[in-house]
Amino acid sequence: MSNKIVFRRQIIYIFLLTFIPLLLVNLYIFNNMRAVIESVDSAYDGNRNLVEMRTDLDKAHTALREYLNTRDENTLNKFYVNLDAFKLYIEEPEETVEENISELSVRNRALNNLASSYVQSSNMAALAKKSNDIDRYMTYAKEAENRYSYLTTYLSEVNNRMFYMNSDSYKKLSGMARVIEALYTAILLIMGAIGILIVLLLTKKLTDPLKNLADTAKEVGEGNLDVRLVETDELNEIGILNGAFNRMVTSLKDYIEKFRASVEKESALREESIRMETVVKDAELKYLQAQINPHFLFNTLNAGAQLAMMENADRTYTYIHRTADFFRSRIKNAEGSATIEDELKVVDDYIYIINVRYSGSIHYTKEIDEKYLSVHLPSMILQPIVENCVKHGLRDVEWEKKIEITVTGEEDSIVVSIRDNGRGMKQSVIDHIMSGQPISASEGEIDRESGVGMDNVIARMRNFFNTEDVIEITSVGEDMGTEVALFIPKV
Amino acid sequence: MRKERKKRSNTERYFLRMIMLLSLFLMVVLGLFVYAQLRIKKAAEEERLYTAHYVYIGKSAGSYTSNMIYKEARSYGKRRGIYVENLKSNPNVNYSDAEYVKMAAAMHVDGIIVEATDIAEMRESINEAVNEGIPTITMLSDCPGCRRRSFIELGNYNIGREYGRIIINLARTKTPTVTVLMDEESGDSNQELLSGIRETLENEGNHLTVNIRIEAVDGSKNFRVTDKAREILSDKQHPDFLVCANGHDTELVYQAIRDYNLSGSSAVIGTGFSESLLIAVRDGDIAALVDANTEQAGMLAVQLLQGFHETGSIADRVIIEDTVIDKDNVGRYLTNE
Repeated sequence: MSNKIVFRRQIIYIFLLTFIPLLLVNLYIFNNMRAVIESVDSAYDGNRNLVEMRTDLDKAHTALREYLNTRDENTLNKFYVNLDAFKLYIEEPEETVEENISELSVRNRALNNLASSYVQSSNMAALAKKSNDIDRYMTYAKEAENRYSYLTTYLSEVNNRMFYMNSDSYKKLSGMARVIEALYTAILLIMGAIGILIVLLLTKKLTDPLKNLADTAKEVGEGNLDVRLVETDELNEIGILNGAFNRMVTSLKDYIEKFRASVEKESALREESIRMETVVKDAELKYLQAQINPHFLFNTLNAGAQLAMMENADRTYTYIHRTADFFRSRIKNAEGSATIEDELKVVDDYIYIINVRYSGSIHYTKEIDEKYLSVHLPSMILQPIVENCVKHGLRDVEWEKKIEITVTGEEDSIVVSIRDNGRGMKQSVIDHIMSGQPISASEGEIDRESGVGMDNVIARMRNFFNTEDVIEITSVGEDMGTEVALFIPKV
Repeated sequence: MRKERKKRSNTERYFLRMIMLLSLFLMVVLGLFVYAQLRIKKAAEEERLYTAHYVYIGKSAGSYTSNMIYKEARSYGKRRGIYVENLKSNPNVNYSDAEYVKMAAAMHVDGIIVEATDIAEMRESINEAVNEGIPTITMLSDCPGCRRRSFIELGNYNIGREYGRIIINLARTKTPTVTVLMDEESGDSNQELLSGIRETLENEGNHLTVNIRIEAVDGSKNFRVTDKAREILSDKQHPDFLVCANGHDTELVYQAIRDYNLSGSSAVIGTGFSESLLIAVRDGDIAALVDANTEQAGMLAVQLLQGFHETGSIADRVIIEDTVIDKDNVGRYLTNE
């Protein structure tokens, strides 16, 4: 079966399968009915023939009588003309005697013989009259008269019999025609019913896959891509359409899967971006909040320093002065960047204040490569880290508390290291901090006082240097201290 | 590939099933067609075919015997492909029997069966037909001196014997009286009839002393017969049996019985089966009728003509059996009528 226009061919097959038998049956019935009608129509042909025969016979015999009476030549001619017309009805006798013929044929044969004998007698009578042979004329005239009488009698007899038989045949033929008509009507109805049945069955067979396809397509159109694909064993265009549809649904499903993954990824990126923005805003907000206190404290502390100077309390003056410097530097460097030197100055001030507060309990050392003092980094980075060391690493430590800051150069970066000898830090906490997420309250890692936590420090460092590897937190183990190393890329 | 072949075979199988279904219905339709054709053929075959044409010319159109013989001849002929036609079927035509024979001769039929009469015209007609090569046989009554091929006769002697037997069976006394009414013209046949009666009474009825009286009348004058019948039957000394020698007389005697209300007088025995006589037997006006065995007569006539055509020879005279109709079996014949 070719793949081309199979469906059309199947439709044509259906049509031909029903139309051709119906056409043949119709032709056959038409032909038969015509034959039957012709038979019925010709039922009385014989009678018509006999009546015409009788008319010509009467004319001929009347002319004969007239001639025999008048001996008029015109009448004789008339007789011969009419006799010739009459003779046309006489069939030549068959040579074969032992033939099977019908009753009417038997009678017709006898009628022909009678007619022939009449023709013979009448001819002889006319001839005798013409030749004036009185004896023969009398004999033949009588014979002709007798035979005319026999002939007309038998003709009527045959005509009546024929009419009776033809009526009978006509009745039979009419009856048969009615039966055949009913029979043929039944045949036509049966054929019609078969045709309809076949068309219905075959059309159903052909269009079911199409309907199935349409239903499935509708489902797909409504968004259900998990439809059961159309199964078909058709090898026509519907089968091809089904195959193409199945492939299309599969492709569509794959494409939608990919599209969904892509959208999810984009959404995750956008979410990350929003989160980063939130962190920055949060830092900025907290920084602003922090600015309020230093300003107020700075003015207050300035007033306290002037008072201490007036009272000659030098240590108090120095303490208040450095506290004021600490807050001043925080205000000054709250935005943008600061040099490592500035950052170290803030840390110095902070340690001085803390040591005054806690009676010099923290041993603070620095090892600085001075050539890097002018290197910039985000402001307020070192102080929060040192503050974390003080608050968390060195809290409740019973041994000598140490904080060491080193600034050294490596191959492609400047390393600022802040190390304490405190409690140390669990790796999970380090990982959490490094992931840039804020530490929950229970973990106690947030610098509530300064308002700036490690997450903020890390985020600002990464943003400032536009790289992830700017900070590293190391803790060897419990009570082994913590080191926070900042890696500032060399330009 | 296999799957595709399977799919293909599924589709083809479906179409195949459809075609099989169609074929089945077509077979049914074809069956109906064949039935219709057979009907047409049967109608055509109902017409019988013939090889020969014989004519039957009975004595009178209303004769039961003639009609029965014709029917039998026709029926027998039909079975053998011979069409037997009753030329005297039309009561409106008043040809003499001789003229009918002439007509048959002019028709060049293959055989003529005629209930002949002993007159010159009949003789001439029969001779003319035979000269034309048409075998002609006379039935029940002959035309002496003609060239007919054969004569199928009942035999007056046989009828006389049958009359004798009827008298013996019906006689209530040991000395029954019998009057035989006969046509004075039919000399020989009357003698044969009387011989038959007498010999039977002597041989089979020797316990009876039968007194037979002959009444010869001119049968050509109907009133003479009727008068004689009335005279005999109304006489206080009427005979026990009145025997009619021929069918014509029987009809006239029955007419007299009806006209003069003479029923219950003598037991009338006659010949010739006709509707009126059968009714007379049924009603008891006539005791018994004797006539030819029509079945045998009709069959034999056709057989004789057929045999003549086949062999060229034929028996000159053939005597057939008789049939007696009395009150016991008349019902059967009336039904046939």
